[in-house]
Amino acid sequence: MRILGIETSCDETSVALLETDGGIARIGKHLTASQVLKHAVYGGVVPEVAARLHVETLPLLIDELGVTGEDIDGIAVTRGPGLITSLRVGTDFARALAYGWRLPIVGVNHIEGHIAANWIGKDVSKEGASYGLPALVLVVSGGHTELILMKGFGKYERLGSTLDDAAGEAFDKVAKMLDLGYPGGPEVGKRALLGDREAFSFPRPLLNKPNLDFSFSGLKTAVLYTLQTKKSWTEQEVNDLCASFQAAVVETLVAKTLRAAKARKVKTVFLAGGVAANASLRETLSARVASELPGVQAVIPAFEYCTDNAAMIAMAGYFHLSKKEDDGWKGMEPDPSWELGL
Amino acid sequence: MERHVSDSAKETAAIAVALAKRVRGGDVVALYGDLGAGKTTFAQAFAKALGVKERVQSPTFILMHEHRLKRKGGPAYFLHADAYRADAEEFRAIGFDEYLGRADAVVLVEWAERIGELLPKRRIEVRLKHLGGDRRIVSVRD
Repeated sequence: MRILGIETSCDETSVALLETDGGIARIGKHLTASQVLKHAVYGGVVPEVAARLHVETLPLLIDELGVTGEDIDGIAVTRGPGLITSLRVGTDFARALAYGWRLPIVGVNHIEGHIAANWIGKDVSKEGASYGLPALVLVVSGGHTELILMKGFGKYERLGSTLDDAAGEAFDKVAKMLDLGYPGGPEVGKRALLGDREAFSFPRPLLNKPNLDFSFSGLKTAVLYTLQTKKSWTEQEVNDLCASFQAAVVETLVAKTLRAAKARKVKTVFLAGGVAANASLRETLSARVASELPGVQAVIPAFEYCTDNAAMIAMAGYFHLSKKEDDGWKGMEPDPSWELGL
Repeated sequence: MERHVSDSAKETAAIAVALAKRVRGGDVVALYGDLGAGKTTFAQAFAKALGVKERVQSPTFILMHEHRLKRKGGPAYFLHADAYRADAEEFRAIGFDEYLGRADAVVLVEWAERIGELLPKRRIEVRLKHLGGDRRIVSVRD
């Protein structure tokens, strides 16, 4: 089966071609706007604003991908959650292709895409062939912080989520307070590697509550209060602040993930989303699953699939299209606040 | 203009609840204040008092979130917007201005200073200022 994937939920325009070959899912070609635009129109410079203009970049990417309706069996496009304007460009473009090429089309949930990324390069002949189900997914990104129980593709139950800010958003906002730029979350992660995680004592919000929810707005404020205690901060002290803040976030995320995994007796724990690229979170989650949950596999995604990409959308689309699902080009509408498992 | 001193999240929330009780469909609440000033606390309490049942997460990433209200006789929608990573042009592109002045919707926008040119003259301005410790000044101007 060959599937065209399209992702435009936020800032990144991306297209990919997925092929299942002897039950193994492989990505044939995978293009994101920044790569192609460099050669096509902007002569080496990619203005930030251009990356947002999915309308201009998407046709170029499809052209570069070089597929026609005869090459593929179906189309998968991100239908939500995300920015309404960005989503609409992707879904309308995909619908037009589905109409013109007379192909089935499925609208994919962006979060399900992040989960599905873990199946790329794996046996997809049947659900559960590559990973034991049920699985627990910790989704952490700039827009999401959720714990989701996965019984299969399309079968989700949300166990908990943030009550206010997403974890990635807290990273970005702390970066802003420290003048590390925006979005500066990854920079906070880098600095944390050089800092002392015990230098400052920050709260672990909701850690001792029995529920599986998170809260990061107050932690951000706690960092601000600490910053206000004196005028100037040395590089090392900034690194220590980053490390101590990160430790509070990671400890909370991992502790609740382990609690949920135990309670629901899952076989696999997946990490997904942009913050899955954070080194401390990756290491801490794998180490603690290994030591505290014998028999449970922790799956940490490859770095290239932590950011938004169409390969993962095509992968999730496969699990729906292979079951003969078809949303139809006529009625498919973007849903900017589509929540998985509610 | 009213000025309140708040010494806790609870007190900030109470000011938001009082405001929510007197807004009507068509009202636009513009929230001003720096990181950590208490905007999240204010917005969440305001939304809850209006009748939002689901959790009110930060819309920083998706820019705006439309909540349905099911209270009889009240407005049908609460639009929670956040301009932290956007500007007026982007807000226009996502259709934010279509909610302004709609009799069936109450709008609250965080980081309102970033989209000042889009806001109607008739608006409720809420300014939050952190004074250190847990103390904040909350001023409300109708």
